Amino acid sequence: MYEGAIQDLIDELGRLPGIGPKSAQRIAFHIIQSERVDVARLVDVLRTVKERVKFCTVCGNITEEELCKICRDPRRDNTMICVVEESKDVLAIEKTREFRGKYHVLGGAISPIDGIGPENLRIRELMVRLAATEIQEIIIATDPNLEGEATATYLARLIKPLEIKISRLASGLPVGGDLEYADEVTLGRAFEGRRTLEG
Amino acid sequence: MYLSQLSLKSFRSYENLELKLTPGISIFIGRNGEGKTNIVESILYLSYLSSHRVANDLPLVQLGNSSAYIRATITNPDREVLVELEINGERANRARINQNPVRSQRELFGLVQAIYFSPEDLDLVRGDPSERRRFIDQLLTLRSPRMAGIISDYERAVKQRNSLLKSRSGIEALIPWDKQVAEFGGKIIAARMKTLSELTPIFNEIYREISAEKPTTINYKSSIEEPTLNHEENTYKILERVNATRSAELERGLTLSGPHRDDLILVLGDHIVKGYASHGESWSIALSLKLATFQLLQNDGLSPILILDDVFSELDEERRLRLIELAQVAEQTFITVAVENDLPKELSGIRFNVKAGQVTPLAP
Ligand SMILES: [Zn+2]
Repeated sequence: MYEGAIQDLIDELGRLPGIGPKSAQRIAFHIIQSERVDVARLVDVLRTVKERVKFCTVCGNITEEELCKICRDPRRDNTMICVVEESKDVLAIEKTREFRGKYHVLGGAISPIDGIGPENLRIRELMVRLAATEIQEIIIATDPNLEGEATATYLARLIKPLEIKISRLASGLPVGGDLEYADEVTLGRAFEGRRTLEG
Repeated sequence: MYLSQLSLKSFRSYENLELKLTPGISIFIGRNGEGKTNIVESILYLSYLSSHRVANDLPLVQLGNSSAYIRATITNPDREVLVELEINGERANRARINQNPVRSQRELFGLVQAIYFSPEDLDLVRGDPSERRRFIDQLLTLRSPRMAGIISDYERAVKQRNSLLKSRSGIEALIPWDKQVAEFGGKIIAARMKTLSELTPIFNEIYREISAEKPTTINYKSSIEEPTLNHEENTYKILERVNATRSAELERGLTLSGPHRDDLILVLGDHIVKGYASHGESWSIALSLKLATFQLLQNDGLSPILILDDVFSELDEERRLRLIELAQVAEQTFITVAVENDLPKELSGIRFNVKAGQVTPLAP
């Protein structure tokens, strides 16, 4: 254990995802040895990102405006919604250029052992969207792992009474994986071959 | 397949160990606590991604270090594979194959196949059902590495579901997990039944050679009625049970149906072995089971590494001979013994002395 400020920094860094105690220590010492202006820039960027970046009030994607770029785009198809876990999945799917509809970002997947239930995700917001607009098809693109599948099943059952077509990305995606790791070709193919879900 | 090189770093008693290995028999001689079993434990870890001695990985990491490392070169007829595994105790392990990081350590399954015999094998006969489930599931994974993913997804689905049951969750929240437990569970039961149907005749034959007299059989005892080789039927039956036992499950906060509640029932003559067989009979059965798994893998076209961990002192002459015969046909065998006198005289091989974490080859 170090004293005071340096230990506070190590503790804060260690709370970030993917950073273990050793990396936290390495980054902390790097910061201490950095020029004052470099550190000031980092502080600025952190503050700005927190001030400016927020979540799209419609779809939950990250944006600096009220609505995200995709929700603002009049050329996008309003009759289709692709449901994903995180904003980074929107990016992955956009790269495939296979999808011209809109998105809905849940903010995670159902995982009871982590205390994440449907009420902790943006599912209520999705249902409000479905009730209010002209949506004809929902594509559920949650991750191809246990929690993603459970979330897909839960959504399919919830949406079924609305008589909207529900489909799930085709298999072929690496099982147990993250959507963001799938390469563009595989992900694109999974979109084309999506299968209708029975709730 | 054989290991041509093994390195351990911060693994149990070894700060740094470098071993050149050869096909055939290698014997590690050392008193208890000198570190001989740690060597075979590391090889088994590469094969099963868990220790045969401890349930969690923390004891594998040498005190004062955050990670332990196992590195091995696997020599196949057509290619060499370098596997590297970083064991992190509390965090997820990391692995590399031929220098390339892999997404999950599970990708190591199937690269090293090893079958071990140890004094703990008696637990197969006398221990809890969990011992026998682990036995059959390890065999499934050796035969078909993709089963590792199915088993681990199943176990996680059960955990997720139990967590919901404990919070007395409503049925809508449970249904997605019912489905996953049933789907993965149905596959596991089907795979266990299939492997058991192939293992049993081999087991019977070996047991008859070792022990004669009474006929043996292995029955699959399931939490579902009449489990079959058809995984979809099993899935359907698990869902049926789940629906029939809702209130009991909520009451106990536990998933009550599925392969995690099943057992292998060993039968000798007209009796269930557990609680009936003598010490000698129990050993014969345990040994026959392990010998049968080795044979089954060979029938699959694999050449598993054989590990005999401190097992000779437990066995009588005839059973020792069975193991020696096997050691002579296996492509590579590792044996640990406390003293040289425990070694059957018929056994030849390269000998290593293990003392205070030092491994030194003995002159032939
Ligand atoms: Zn938006």
